[in-house]
Amino acid sequence: MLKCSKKASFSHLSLKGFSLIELVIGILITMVIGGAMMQGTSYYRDKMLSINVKEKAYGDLKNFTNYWKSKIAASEWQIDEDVNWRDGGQIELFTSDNPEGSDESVTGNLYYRASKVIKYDNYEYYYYSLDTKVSWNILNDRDSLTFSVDQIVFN
Amino acid sequence: MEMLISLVISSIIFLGMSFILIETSRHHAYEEVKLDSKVFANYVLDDIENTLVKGSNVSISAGIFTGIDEITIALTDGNTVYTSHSEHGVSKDNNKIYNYDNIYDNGTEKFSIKEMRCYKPTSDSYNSSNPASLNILNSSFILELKIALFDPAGDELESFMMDRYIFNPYIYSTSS
Repeated sequence: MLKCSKKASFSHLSLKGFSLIELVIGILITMVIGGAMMQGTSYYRDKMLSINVKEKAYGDLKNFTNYWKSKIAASEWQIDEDVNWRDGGQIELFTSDNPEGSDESVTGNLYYRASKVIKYDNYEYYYYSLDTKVSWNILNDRDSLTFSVDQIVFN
Repeated sequence: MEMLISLVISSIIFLGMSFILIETSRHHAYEEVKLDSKVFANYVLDDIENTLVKGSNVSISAGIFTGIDEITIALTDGNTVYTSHSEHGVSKDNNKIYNYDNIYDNGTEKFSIKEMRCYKPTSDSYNSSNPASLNILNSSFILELKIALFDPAGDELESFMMDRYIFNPYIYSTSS
């Protein structure tokens, strides 16, 4: 009789399916995994944006540096004692092509400075030490690139 | 009934996650090709810049039909010519500039140089209040590359421009 009752109880349990608690735990675990995946995807997208912006900044800073090298080489650099960073204008580093109109953009600020370096070896000579910099704000963070080059003056 | 509901919810979440994964990996593959193409473009720009700054004379003939200008640079040991090439896009003295893995598994090209323009700047875009002299502008060149990206089927996905400002001190010191 007891054996028969146990068998009936087991049979009833196996037909019951998942309880609400089990279902909620299952969904919670899936949501945690899904959330981690979304976090990873978001991190990856931010990283790719950061790399693309840096690539563009590198190209633009190289052109900016070449321009100021040419000004120094041609002796068109305004000589003064001020060796602080000077404003070199703004450049567009990234513009999203969002069809809904809410465009995002990253703008970079260019800076430059140069100082005259006078050397005394067998004879006196000089050159200019040129620093150029581009800095930008991206994802609530500030990033920058700086080039340092030397340039002689062609007379 | 609970079993069915849980199966439906799990399937929806699974399908959503699979969609995100597929989109992310597709985007990742595309960005990888784009980054490779930028490295390639910078290499080509560096190569032409390094030759151009050493040249005693630079002549440019416009590539009207090809979209790729022919740049002839006079060096002490002869001329170097950058021109259109049917296989490599742009060649240096008829040789490939960069030995780069640029093909998908099915043999289709990932990216190529679509346009190359070289010209002298007519105005100073950096410093309008105290612009560069005409001698500087006449000794400077702007080199533009247009790179096209393709999918494995050979359809163009995107094209973008990269440029380089180049100053030739030899031309400046001999012309001023």
